[in-house]
Amino acid sequence: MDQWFGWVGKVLDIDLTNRKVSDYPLDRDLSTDFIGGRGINGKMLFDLLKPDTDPLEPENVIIFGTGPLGGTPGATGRFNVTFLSPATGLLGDSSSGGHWGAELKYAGYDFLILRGRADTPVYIEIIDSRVHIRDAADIWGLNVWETTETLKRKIKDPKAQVLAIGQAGEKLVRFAAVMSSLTRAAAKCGGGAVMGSKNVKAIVTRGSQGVKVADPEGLIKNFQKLYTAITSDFKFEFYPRYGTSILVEGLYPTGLTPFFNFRQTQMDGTVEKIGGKTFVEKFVTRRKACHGCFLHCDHYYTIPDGKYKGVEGQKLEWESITALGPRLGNIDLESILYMNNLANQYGLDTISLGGSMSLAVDLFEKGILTKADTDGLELRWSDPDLFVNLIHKTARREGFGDLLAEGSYWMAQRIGRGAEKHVCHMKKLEPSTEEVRGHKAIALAFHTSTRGGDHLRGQPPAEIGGFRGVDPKVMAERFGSEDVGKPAVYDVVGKPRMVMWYQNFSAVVDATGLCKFGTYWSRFPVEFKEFSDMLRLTTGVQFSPDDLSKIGERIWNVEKAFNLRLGFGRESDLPSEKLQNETVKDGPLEGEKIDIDKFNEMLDSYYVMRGWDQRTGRPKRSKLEALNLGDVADELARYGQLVEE
Amino acid sequence: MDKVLIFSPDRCTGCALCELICSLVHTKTCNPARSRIRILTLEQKGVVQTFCQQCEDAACMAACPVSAITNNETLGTIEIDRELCIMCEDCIAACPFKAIYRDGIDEKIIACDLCGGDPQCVTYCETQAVEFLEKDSVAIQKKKKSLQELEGLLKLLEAYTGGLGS
Repeated sequence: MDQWFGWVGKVLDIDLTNRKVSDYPLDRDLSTDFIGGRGINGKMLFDLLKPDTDPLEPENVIIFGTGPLGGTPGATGRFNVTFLSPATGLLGDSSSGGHWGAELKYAGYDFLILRGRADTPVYIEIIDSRVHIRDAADIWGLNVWETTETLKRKIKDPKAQVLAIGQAGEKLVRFAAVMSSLTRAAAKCGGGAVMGSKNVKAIVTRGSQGVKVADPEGLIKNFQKLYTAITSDFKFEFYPRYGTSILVEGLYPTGLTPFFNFRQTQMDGTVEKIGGKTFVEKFVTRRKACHGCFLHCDHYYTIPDGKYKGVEGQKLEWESITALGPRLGNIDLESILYMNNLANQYGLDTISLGGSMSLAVDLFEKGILTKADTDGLELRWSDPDLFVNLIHKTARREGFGDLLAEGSYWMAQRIGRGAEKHVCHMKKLEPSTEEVRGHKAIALAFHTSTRGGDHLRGQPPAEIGGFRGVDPKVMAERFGSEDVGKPAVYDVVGKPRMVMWYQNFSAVVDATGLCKFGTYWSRFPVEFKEFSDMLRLTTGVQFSPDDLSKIGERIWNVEKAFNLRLGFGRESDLPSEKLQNETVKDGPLEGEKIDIDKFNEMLDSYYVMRGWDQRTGRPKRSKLEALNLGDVADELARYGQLVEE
Repeated sequence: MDKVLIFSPDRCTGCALCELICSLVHTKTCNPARSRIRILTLEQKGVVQTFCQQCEDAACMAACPVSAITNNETLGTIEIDRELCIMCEDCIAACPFKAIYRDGIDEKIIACDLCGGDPQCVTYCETQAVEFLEKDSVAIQKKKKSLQELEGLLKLLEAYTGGLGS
């Protein structure tokens, strides 16, 4: 089979040190074993990287990967960015929507690998298989929006898609994001800093080659079915109208919204002031979408009056609202919108940004930080002007901002004086802004996530009640225990299985190029069976639902192995001191914390279900070989991280 | 045929699903560069969407040196005769709506054919930014308005980048 459908079938590989550009066919076996995107990225990184690499040295590699469904109707063209993370020292992996990923395929490539370091700032231009490494002296120092505009004008093609870093990436802020389509962020884990360390300011894609599909008529028919199923579902209307901003309304009553650096979950006026309804009624001007996506959860907004009058922006997510709002005791939506713009322009992950600032205020209140540390600033909650000031400092690493730019875990390490007791992190990563102590399956998912604390790697929405709704019968049948829908229960039967299922599921979604929002993750009727149909019609390759589930497991095991090879085992799956010792102060989750013994029992159970050693979490050879990962097993054995059974 | 295709820029999300569907229907591949309807977002400033307006007195037709472009009165569309076409692209230059294109893969000139009376871009436009409406006075008024907006956006685009690009 020479011809590729779905996949373009090509990898672009650039050595920046020698300015050498090469391309080669995508490995067929990789495509059937890992599908694409996050799956293939992870395996490539595992094979390419030596474990003693420094994330910000030229030896690190950054891979941009699309999935075979990218650039086909409804698939959104998401892509994954994968690298050794400067935020955690572990697997760095982040996914982004927008239009850039699809355009990379139209330009002729599924994957782009960047190695080495350019001796001067450059940008990369990929137009219909013609690749140029160009001088970026005149755009270095510009923000993401300025860079995007400048490059589009320069190549005189407004349809070109620009991926870029802002000043934060240049300054190696540990949580600098890889930005594309102006406001879409592959935000977590500091990919922007890796690009900055390689002196790569931007990557422009533009192409006219399209994506060939195996069965065009079948694909259209199948798409019609999916389109109808999703748009006629009652949950559909939330996405077009509000996007994730409506989760303020949905999650606040469940106590999942953390305030004041994870101290409490309630604050009067929150829903009215920063909720999705207020956002849409007062600020939204028009709707916006990712490539080929009919869910269009994105919006353009304008601030009509007040201090930030006339400020225009786009893309407000619940995570950003919460990180720049409640987490800082701030329920002033106009300031949140303004800060969201700053983060998008500087190229910063909003979650980690809110995390750094909230830790700083917390430590200041406790007297661990003083004015001597903060450039004389008085740090306090609910002070948007202060936070705006801190964002400018962080992105430029100016003064106190140099400390904030480290991210909360490393900040605390540098401060000492007991600061680490107040950090909420998983594998050194600032978790998504959710109160995890009251929901034990979510806690397990966040702590076992291969890239550090995070909701998109397998948080089970089924554990959250509220407007998403959970049918306990369906859950019980699927995961073997009715307790999966009871947040406070440390269930060792159903919850670990549920977490594992969602983790494998998420891995598959990230590998295909789809967005989780249009799947069962958001409780739409789109699961492995539907993925199987889409993949068959698009690629011509038959992946059965069981194959896909196994592929999800395979992807997860490679990522786990990547971290184990670096020496991060069971310890790195355990909750930080703060989550074990401090209880939630109010709301429906009042009194909740993570009981380490009970958590350990769930973790034991999770390891056993995964086919890993119950005590160490190291995979068994038999498990890896059953997943066709014999080479990974051999590599782990060399590092003493394999159980030979 | 008494229906017209109408675009409402304020409803468009810029997703370009219309481009993907159009190219899939007409070329069996997903390729916006081969679509007969094209989307270009100027972010807050608006969305430029271009597709053949099926003009009765069409500039492309007048510009064609070999009379390859004709009106199909049954379907209410313009038609391009591939046998006669010499690929001079005079039609592309003449179209005031930037709505006639060269398909670089099949090497032919393409324009919207209304999918023979059931435009598929309309079927999947969730926000109804593209509509196929009975040609009554309301629809005609709406179309006029959208073309005025398009004219403004095309001018803006000219100043912005020097044209539509490829």
